Amino acid sequence: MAAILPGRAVLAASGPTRFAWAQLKYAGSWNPNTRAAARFVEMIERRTSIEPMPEIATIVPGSEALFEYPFLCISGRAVFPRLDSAAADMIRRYVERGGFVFVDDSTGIPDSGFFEGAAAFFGSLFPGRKISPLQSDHTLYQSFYLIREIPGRKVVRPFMFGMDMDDTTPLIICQNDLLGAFDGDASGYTHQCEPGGERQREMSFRMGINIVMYALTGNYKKEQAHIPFILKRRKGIQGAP
Amino acid sequence: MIPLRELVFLNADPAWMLAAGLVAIISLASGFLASRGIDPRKRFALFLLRFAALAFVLAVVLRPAEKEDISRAKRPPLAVIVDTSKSMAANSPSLAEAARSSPSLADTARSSPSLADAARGWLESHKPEFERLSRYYRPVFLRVDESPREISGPELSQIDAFSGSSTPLSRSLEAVGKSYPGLAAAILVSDGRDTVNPGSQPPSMAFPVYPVAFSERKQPNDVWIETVDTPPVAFIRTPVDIQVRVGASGFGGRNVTARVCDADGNVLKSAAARLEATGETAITLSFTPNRTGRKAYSVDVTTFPGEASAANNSAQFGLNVVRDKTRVLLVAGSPTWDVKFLRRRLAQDPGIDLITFLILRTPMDMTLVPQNEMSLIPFPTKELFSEELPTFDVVIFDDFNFGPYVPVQYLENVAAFVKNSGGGFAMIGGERSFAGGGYGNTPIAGILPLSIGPSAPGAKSFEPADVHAALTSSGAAHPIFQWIPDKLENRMFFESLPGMTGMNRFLTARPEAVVLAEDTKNGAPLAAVMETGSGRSMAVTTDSLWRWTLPYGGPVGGQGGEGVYRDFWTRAIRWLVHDPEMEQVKCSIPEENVRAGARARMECRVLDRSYQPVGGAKLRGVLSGSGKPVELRWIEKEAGLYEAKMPMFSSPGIGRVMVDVESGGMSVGHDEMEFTVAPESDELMRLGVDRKYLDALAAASGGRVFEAEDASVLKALEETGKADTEIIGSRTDEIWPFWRYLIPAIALFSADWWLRRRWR
Repeated sequence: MAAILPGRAVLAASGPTRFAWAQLKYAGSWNPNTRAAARFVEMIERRTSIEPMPEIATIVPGSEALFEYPFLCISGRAVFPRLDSAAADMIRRYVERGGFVFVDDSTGIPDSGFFEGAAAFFGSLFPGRKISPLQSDHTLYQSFYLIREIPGRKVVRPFMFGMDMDDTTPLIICQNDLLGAFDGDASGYTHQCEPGGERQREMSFRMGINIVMYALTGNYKKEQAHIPFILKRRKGIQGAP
Repeated sequence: MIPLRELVFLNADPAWMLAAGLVAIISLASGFLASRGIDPRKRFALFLLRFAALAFVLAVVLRPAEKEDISRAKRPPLAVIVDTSKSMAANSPSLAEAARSSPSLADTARSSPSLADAARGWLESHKPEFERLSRYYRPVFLRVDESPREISGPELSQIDAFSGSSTPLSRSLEAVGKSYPGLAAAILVSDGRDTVNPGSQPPSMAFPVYPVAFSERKQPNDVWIETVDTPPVAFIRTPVDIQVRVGASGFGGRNVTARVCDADGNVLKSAAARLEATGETAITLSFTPNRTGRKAYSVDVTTFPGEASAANNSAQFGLNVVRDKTRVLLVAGSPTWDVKFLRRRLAQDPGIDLITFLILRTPMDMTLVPQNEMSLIPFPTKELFSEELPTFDVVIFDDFNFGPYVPVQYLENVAAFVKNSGGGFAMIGGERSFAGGGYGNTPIAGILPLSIGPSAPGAKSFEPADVHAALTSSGAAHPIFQWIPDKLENRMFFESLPGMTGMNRFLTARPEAVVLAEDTKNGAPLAAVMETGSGRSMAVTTDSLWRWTLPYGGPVGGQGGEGVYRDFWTRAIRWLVHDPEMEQVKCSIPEENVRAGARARMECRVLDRSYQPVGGAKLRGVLSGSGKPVELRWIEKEAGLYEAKMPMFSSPGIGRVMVDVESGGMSVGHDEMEFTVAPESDELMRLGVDRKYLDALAAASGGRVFEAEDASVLKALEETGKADTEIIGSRTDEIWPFWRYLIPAIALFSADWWLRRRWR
């Protein structure tokens, strides 16, 4: 079952074929930064050519609706949810067929129970695949912005974790409470970003946009690096980006 | 039958023999003792006399006889196989006929006896040996050329027709083995030239093969093309290497030049090499095909004066020239799920070289960040749509609004790329496609299968509603959507696929377009294709095809979901680039190969734009290569399948057929193909004995090659035959009748008695 949370109605709804932020709604603290996603989606729409669905979709574990949203966020401030085997198997198939999962650990604690639980869960779903820190040259850090520092509400780890499959990384795990940096309303943000303050918040938005852009474009930016070689004799460059 | 004799006793009871022996010894001893006092010489004479008398008595008692075993040879079949193909007659008057088509053969034909002559002579001179062998074997005389045939013994040495046009030697030997179970051995008189599988390893046989070598014969002086090794496919605009293996006899050390020519006789490449004295000389020729399709080429090597045959200095080969990779340019107006999954699919296809340009930020988006902190690059429109456009095979606009980025003149380039250069173009739906992208009055509108109509005031050009998609009758049979051959089942399958959302509006199919899928609610086209100039275009009016690849379950669950989406895009790209397998008009030759002097047919399958058979079509096919170009006469064998008889080719070479098809006054399509015309027979392509093959054949079967004058093999076969006999019975005859022993015994005993009395 999927539900739609109220968000900013900027564009007319055109069904979920466009990018939509979908979040796993499990029993427990599934949405610790309640206004973060909507605010972030607004930022995506403002800064990029992506025209996201303004509504935030929630996916109940085990719901077939998961397959209508190729992007899924799992967030939490306590322990990682215990999913039954049917729900877990559904997530495994979802990832194998092209779905993308972003896990945001909102605890702000190194090696928290939430992070350990997420690593154990995906480790058991994909035996033999490693969840490891992403190297600084990963496409994620250059899919839209050039990212050199890994931000969030807190800087628990100076890198993101990921799990590779073929030539992409369909699972990204952030330990820095990225959504915590976005949470707030028109009157201001809910949390301070530590230790970098507003610069760190801006970097968090950039990182978030890079994550969504990576989910949508994969290794596009890496391929682009080779295009000058492919398009020999490239001379003047015209037009917009 | 072979009798074997031995001595036996009819009364051979051991008790009797013991008793008789004892009586004889006692009698001899008592006679000797009783003669004491007699002169020793006379005494010895008496002993001998008694001994002789007793010997006859023993013969009377034991009855010696002669036993005769009757044995019989098993006489397994022994094959004497004579190769009666044309190549055996090379260098002989009987070659005269073959030499007519190859004048250079005539001189050598007159000069020396052929292998056939040598074979005749050998068979004639070994008649006595065959006679002897027939005691132990059942000789089977066979001539082999196209197939093995049994002949009688007397015919063997009188074979005069060495005229077989092919020699499937290995196959024939296997057939002989099957036809004569228990075959003891085969004596083979052949040059070892298997013309059906040249160069192949001989099979192992269940019987030993003893090929006769005629080593004293000089191999004919000749240079020939042994094989032309080509890759299974060649790629357009990519150099391809072919290896010409040249055999030579009598021309070792000479320089030879090899050339490869196209069907028009244009030399594409030549290379020289020094000929090996023995064995083969490999020459590699590299050339670059510049057209796709079924192409034929010829190769020739230098012809030296005095060569036994010039016919084997050239050869033809066919090559299927395909695209190396289909180069696809994907331009998308925004990173969407449709783009993500399309990119993922195309990137996974090893046959596709994908270049993508995504608009990640529009001029309307906020720019709060310095450029050096962003990874964005300018859109290289000039390079893509002007300089490099001809290097692509397909261009896809996916939800792309050209306005802010691409000048209209570049859209003209895209249209020309499709219409004039045979490129493929696809537009995928979305808010920025078709009317939403402002394409209504652009050159792109001219190549789209859908007309962009005026939109209603205030109406959106992209409707975000659910699509009730269904295949049209044409779509159900079109290769792009053909997952299941049965049209009805295919349509049902399509309708079972995950649903789509969002569709472009104000579009109608152009008369020349074929609508493949539509929204059943309002009949709006969902997918359509069109031939436009020499290129092709496709329109998909939704941006949610990606849903096929991420299904939860249903009929396309599991790998099926991925497969449906993959198949759709693979076929769509292939159709857009005129993949020969997807052409509406397709020629083929039903015969395995076309030979000079033999009739062959040409078939042509004709399908309409919906890939339905076209009956009553008008075909115009011109055949060239057999002399003056001739027009083929077609008959319709079945709906959509046409056949024409090709005129006979008088000589080996290359043929070319170009077919144009019309139906109802409209052009349906065109196809052309080149094909090789092989010599009437491969017999004269290789002359002389292939000793390597004969050695390998003998080794693989457990036999050995023997020289014509070496009689040891035939003798060994005779000995083996002798040893391999079976006893079928016996006969026993008494040597003498009873009285013939008794009378001498009585006479000798009487003499013994009389002399004892006298000498005492």
